[in-house]
Amino acid sequence: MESSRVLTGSHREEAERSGDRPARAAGIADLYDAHGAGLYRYLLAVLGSAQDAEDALHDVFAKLARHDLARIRDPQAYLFTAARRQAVQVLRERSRRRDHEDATSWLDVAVADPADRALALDLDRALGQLPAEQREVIYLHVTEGHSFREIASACRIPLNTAASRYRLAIAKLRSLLEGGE
Amino acid sequence: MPDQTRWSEMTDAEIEGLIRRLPVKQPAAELRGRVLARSAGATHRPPLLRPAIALGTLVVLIALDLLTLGAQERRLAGALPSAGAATIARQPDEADSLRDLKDVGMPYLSARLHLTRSDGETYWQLRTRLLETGEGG
Repeated sequence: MESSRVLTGSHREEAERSGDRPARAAGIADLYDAHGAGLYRYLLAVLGSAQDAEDALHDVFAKLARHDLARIRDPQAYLFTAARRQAVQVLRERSRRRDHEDATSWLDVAVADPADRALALDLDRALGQLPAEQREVIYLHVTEGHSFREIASACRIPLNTAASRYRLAIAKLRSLLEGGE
Repeated sequence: MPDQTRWSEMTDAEIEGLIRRLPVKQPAAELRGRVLARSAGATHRPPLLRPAIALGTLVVLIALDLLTLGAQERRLAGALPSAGAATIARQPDEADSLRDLKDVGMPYLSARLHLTRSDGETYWQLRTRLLETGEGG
């Protein structure tokens, strides 16, 4: 969940008021620039597939484009919720089809420091074997640095669930790394 | 295979630190163009426009339905011969036709009730009378 750039409300409102397509497109492009990469990584972490993450990101922005941009007060929260819903939908479809692929993680092993590369490969494989909800909580807590309270609020789960899910995820990760399961 | 010894020597905090330190994947550069091109195709409709479109669609569907029904009725009317005076004269008396239904029980009762309801006779009055007299009147 990046927050490097915040789209000004007046920009989006102006686009909506005028019904100006280029202005609307610029508003959506601004939102993509501010949050697109973070959303992609989040979707990649949860879905474990680059293709699915790209498709889901497409759907999130296509839905955003049909939305009244001026009424979105917190674009970051809106986009995160939309991305999470999309990810849940993809996971449901996948479980209905009984598809099970080895997931990939959000870590870029190829550009890792050579000293860390072996460990990065192990981590990438182990993270890929975790259930989606455990990958999600590790990504949000460790990589994005969100607190359990923030994760609980964003994922609409109790605080204790967020914390215990994380503990379970780390325990499972360690077990996988140490050659268990 | 993971380097088991190395991992077992690391604490949870060290594993977290490693995950945090490792570079993360970035979306492909062309993804931005694809996403924005697709979202540009989707248009936002103001909330009031949606009910207006739904209402318009409904009106068009009803009009089409009426047109189809009208055409079918006209075709049917053209195909059927008109009822002549002889046809009407030959229609059997309703009581006669019901007499044939006497033995079938409830359907007869229902049909008879339909005929007698206009005389103010209720179902129970009719049933009692039929049971007492054994005939449909």
